[in-house]
Amino acid sequence: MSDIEFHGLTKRFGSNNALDDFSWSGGCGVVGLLGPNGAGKTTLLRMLATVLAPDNGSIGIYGLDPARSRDRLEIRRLLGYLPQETGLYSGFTTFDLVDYVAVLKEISDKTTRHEQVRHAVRSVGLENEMHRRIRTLSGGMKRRVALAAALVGQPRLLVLDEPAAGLDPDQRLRLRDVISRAGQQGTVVVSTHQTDEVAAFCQQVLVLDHGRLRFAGTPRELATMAEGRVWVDDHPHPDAIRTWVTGDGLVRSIGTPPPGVQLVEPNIDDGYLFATSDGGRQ
Amino acid sequence: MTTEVLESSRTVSTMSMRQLARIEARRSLRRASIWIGAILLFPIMSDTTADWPGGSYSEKLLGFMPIALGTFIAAFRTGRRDGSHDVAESAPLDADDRALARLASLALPLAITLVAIVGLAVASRIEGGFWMGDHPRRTDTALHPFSELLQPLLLVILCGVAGIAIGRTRRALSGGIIFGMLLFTFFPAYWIWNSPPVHVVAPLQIQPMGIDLADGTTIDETPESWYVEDTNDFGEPPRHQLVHQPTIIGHDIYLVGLIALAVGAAVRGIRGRRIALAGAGIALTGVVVQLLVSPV
Repeated sequence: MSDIEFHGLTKRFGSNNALDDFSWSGGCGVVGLLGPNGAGKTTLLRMLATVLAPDNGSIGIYGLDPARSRDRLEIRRLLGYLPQETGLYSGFTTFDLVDYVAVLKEISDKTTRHEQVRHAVRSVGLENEMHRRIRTLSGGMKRRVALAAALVGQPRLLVLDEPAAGLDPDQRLRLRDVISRAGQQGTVVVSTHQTDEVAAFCQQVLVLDHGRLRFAGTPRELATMAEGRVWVDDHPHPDAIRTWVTGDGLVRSIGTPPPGVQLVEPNIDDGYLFATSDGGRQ
Repeated sequence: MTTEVLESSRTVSTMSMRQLARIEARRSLRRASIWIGAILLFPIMSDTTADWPGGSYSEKLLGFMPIALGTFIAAFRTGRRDGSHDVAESAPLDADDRALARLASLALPLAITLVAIVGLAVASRIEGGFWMGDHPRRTDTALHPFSELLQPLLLVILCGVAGIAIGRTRRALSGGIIFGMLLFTFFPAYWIWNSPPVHVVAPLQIQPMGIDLADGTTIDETPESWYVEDTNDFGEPPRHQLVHQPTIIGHDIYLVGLIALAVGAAVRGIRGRRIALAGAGIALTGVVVQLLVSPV
């Protein structure tokens, strides 16, 4: 049995199909979730975080069913969730907020709780802002406070919705370290728009588009999905699915290569673009 | 994004609930509105300028209005703390548990109110009591019964619970608008609430009740046991001044019902709906009792 199992998940918001017969199973390590805006990533993560129910289909998390009240509580005891839009209490200090969340996570022993709070705050690099009120922190710092709140209690399943949004390059590197460590102890499901992050620390990657699963595999397999379909030339080709000018002035294209062009080794960006293009869907 | 949101089950750790309640109680110490209400409580209660019979008796309870208002504001701010996005919405202790724990933030204003009530009861008994009626049947020894002293305590609880409930359900609502409405309800308009028949649903029922006597009636024509306010400067007829305990008890029941109703609205879920339903029933019973027994 896999740590996480999705079977035929469907979710509609009005006329919009956020998830459409989505199935996948896996877990253990870091799972990256890629997809364009509106692909259904946040909907899927909210379901995984047990705060949203699917219209159809079922979810299994460590063999527990979040549709059942008692199982849901057990799942929540194993869970850390960083939503895309975080709520923070602006009048609380960083320490107080993360401590409050630790109480919500039923970490009742005060000494243990405070130690875990300090550990979580340190891990996101906010040890010097421990006693500053949240309203005085920058946007990136607030995001890290929310991340510390998700990390506190060392959850077995960590669900992160665009954790790198608003972070500077240094903090992004630190985030990679945090996520990698968490992935060694359990399962991390992380949605992102950064394909380089997926390549850097994800063992598995899922690509969603229009609520459907377009790809599931390793980052390397995602890159090789575009094998033989990426070329460079000195001019754009009308039949290319995607085309852009690279830093060295050459035109890089994805699609069915015309005869005589120079094929290049695809990277994860190419794989992702191919997977979410019409050619990839076919 | 509006959709079915999953609630957690109801078997969370009681120790964590207690810790959460302690945090909320501790944080309420920082709410200025409670302290302002508490500070205003004492000058209003020690004011002895009411120059009509029953005036000093009535105004003592009005002294609790500022702390009731301050409690509401503090509770409203606590209730709306999550803003547009809940903090840690997938934690085992969910929004309903947090609302329940936030009721503990009422411990401070309740303690202040209780101290003031005990102080009022003791001081008025040492002092001898309040002026009721005009000569020749005036007394200066009227004392608030227990059932009446219970009213401000119930009012403060009601304001606190209602603040948490409204704050939770109407997070975008302007605190200033609510503050203005309550200010008007509690202060300039308090006497409107105490005009029959709406006195049965008043936030704070003011005693003594004044029962108008027939035109031309003089104090000498009334029973010996009555305290009567004589014809006043406004030309109103004489009134029988009466502290009517059965009506007060009915009003206490009504306030208890409203508190339960507000707790249900604050906690929500199946548990909340049950509490709210029971509260509505109790409040209705309190109103019916008052309508049946009230002499006005």
